[in-house]
Amino acid sequence: GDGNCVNSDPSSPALKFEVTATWNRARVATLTLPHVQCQTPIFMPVGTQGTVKGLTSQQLEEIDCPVILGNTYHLGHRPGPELLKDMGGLHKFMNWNRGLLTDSGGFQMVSLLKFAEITEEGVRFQSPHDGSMMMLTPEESMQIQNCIGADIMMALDHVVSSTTTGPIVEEAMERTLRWIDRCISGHSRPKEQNLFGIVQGGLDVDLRKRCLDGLIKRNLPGYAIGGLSGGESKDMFWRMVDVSTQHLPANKPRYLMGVGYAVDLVTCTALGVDMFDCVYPSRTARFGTALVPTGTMQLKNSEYASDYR
Amino acid sequence: MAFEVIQKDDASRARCGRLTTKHGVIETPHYLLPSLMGSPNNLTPDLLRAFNNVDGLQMALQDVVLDLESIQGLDKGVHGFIDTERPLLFTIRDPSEFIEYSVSEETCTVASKSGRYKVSPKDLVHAEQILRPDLMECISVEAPHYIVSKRVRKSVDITLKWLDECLRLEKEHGLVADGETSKLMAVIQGGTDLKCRKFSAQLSQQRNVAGFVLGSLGLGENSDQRRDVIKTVVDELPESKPRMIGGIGGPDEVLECISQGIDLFSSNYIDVVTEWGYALTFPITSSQSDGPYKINLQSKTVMRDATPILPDCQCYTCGRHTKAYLHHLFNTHEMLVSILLTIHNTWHYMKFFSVIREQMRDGTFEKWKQEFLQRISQT
Repeated sequence: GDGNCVNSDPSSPALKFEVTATWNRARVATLTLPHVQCQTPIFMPVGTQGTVKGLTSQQLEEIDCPVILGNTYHLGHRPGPELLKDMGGLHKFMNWNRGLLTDSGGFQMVSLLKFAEITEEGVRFQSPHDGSMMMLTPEESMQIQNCIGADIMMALDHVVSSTTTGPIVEEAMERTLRWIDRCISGHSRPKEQNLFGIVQGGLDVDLRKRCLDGLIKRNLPGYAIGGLSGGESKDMFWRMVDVSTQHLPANKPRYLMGVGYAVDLVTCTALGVDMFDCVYPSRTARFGTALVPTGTMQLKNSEYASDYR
Repeated sequence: MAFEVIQKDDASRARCGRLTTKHGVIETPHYLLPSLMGSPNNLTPDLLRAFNNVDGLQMALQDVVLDLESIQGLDKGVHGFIDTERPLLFTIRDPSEFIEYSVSEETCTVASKSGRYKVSPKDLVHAEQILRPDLMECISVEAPHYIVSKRVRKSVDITLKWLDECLRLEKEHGLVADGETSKLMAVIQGGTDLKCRKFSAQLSQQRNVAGFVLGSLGLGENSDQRRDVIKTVVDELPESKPRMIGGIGGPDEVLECISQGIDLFSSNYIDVVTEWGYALTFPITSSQSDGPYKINLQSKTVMRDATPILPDCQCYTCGRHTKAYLHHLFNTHEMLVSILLTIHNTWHYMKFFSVIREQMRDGTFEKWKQEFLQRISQT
């Protein structure tokens, strides 16, 4: 994070990705980011508002967690980009010295807000705090994420639910490609932060391929597979992951957003995914479910009252 | 279980001592961190290990009554069930709540996780057999300061009756051999009626118990009432056994009680302070003369404060985080702030107790106490 490039490749000065072992399409790689070096595949816990719920940063270090997520929508509101910038970025503010990844803010808006509408300009939404109409443009999303200072930042994309059909899916995909160029222009710290593009296209193989081609042309440091894990059938889910990983370049990290359960992690790693994030582990813990190698245990169940293991 | 007075203060009844239990030593005066199943609020075992001055934990009978069968199944006592080697001292009720139940001659009612639960002397001894605690408060009938006359006397009589019944049952079940001291602590009741308190204390100290609990205090009585009750009770108690008080947490009140001869404290002071978003910063040593008593982390004044709560505090939170970050966590209702703030507040409060013991061992307690009270009166 001090401006020294981690990679000699000028197209990806802040990220190095070296595959060290493969098995069919699965791969192990060394990922070098400004704040951390780690081995992929990695799972990234979600630290929404600058904290992974209930865990201290030391505890996260003790379990060797390489990267955590921050949500631009939430952080952009509280504590806000100016304060974060003044504090030296989210790393310093939280005192977390490993990897950070921020999403663009778009997804939260569409899923959390009563009124949010996507126009060519950006995401138009009603501020939940004072009711006024606001706009999040690709440029603004980049600005906020530059203030946060995460190792990886996500492009603002036009997300559509995986169960949506019709012309909007193509429209969203095309817009995502137009927006990626605005994101690239609006990104002011390419030597310290990596902008990842997000592949959209719903459940349409052709649309996905066109999006992939468009993003790959921009030669970004890494790519995410978006618009999945939202209600589509498992059959369609893995097929879209498959299409995406087949066409994404092998020498760049592939991030599958919002995934997931243990089975999905294994399947998608087999398909060539390198990075995952999900609220599942922390959320399920709050419901009393323990994750163990053999599955899950609902600890509140009476069968455990005398289970002394 | 043995209690030894190490040093007595010249100017008051304060003393420092060592309470030796099967699971370790508790240095007195000591604040027993309240815990649920041996887990202090917000402190996971790894976080608790960072403290070298947390000797014993408090647990409440009301919190385990429904789990006795499970604990019994493992047959390793509550220590084995929780997997802890720390001294565990049981109170009857949880320090964070006081519910008045109607008085019964047969049973003490506690608030279990699923509602009222009745504990008779037989039930208490049965629980003691299963739990194998280091020390356990006996059941009693509480009588806070607003309870008057006949009801107060009744609470004393029933309490003594239950104590004797418990001691008898302990012998009957082989928990305590002849001549051996019980692990039970007798509870002195009597409201603010000094005659009743004296009577309760006199009779209780005739029994072969581990120590004494000054019951029904910290429930809204004024400081004069409390002072008079404590003096009256301690007048009758032997020096050789520890005295515990519940519900007293504020540093000035704690010091007052210590000067009157109290050795153990059980309260939810840290939890309350933390819940309200306050970081304890009252100056403990003379080198910290001009800090505030506490800092309100919810206040906008700390929103951009990139310094720790206390610059010389050795706790995890002060070593790693700023007030600005804590303020943000509070503002966004994040779980982590409870943990980080609990760490600091516990550290600061336990340090307060460490310094008290240090001052007593050095023979400078009374002087330090006056300076401390002076310092905090100026915050």
